[in-house]
Amino acid sequence: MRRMLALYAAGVYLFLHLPLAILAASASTPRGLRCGRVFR
Amino acid sequence: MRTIRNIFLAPSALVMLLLVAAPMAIVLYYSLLTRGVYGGVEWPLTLENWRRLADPLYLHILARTAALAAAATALCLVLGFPLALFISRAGPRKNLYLYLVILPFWTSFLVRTYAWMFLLRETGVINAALMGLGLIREPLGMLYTPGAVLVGLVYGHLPFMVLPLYAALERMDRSLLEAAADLGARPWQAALRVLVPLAAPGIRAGSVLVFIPCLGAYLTPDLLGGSKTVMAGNLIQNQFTQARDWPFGSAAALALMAIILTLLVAWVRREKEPLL
Repeated sequence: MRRMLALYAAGVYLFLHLPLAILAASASTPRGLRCGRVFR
Repeated sequence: MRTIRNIFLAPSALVMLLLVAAPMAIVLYYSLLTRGVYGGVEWPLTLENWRRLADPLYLHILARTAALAAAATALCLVLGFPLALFISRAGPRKNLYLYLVILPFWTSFLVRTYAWMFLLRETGVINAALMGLGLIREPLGMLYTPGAVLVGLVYGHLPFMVLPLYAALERMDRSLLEAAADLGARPWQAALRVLVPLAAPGIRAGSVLVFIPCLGAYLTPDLLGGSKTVMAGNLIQNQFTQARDWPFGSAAALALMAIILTLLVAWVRREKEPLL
């Protein structure tokens, strides 16, 4: 029961953090970094 | 004593009068005016804007808004309840897990919504992954659908559900669950008959905190729903910007507010206890 709850919570945390993590990762690609230079 | 109370209440009463009552009165007045030829407002006073709200087109938008807000609230509850239960039983790591729930809030709501656009679009990560795995041949049209709006609403409002639920579950006496088990209740029976009733104040507060902002949501349906999934917030915004029909926009805004207030008052009367 406790393990299932932890697994479920991990899934919800993934749902909460994955979109932003992917967005952050895309900003670190060469193209993302080129776009980032615009803000300097 | 009463005079002192009135003196202390006066500043807040003044703020409420200036920042709540006065703007509401202006909006109500505008809702009774007529739209001018060039988008302004003019006399005569009329109830036509309120009558237009009964048009099937607008009733359909209101019904869709209510359905999406209710679905988002239900999904937040389904996702948030086990998470809140997990956090309340996490011992010394409780604060870390709570912190992880709040962490996405450190970024702008706009950025979080754009993250979902990045994931759901035809050239997005989800479609690329599914095509890479050979599960689909053509990209799925996930963006600009009611489903995308629902995901965005749930994502944006989940912490509002988790935090009150956590507060309710944290206060709960865990020996009651052990007593239920000793008396022969199976885990799901104990959850339904002990856990859920004891967490009811948190469920109520979380549902209100999610349902009301979802009813008035404007940015999420605008970015993730496009022109296909218009919600009440978009309808009101369109009247004030593109349609330049301020009287109808005011009537729609007040109608939405009246619906929310009616629901809240009915709920409070039924429950016979403070809402939050």
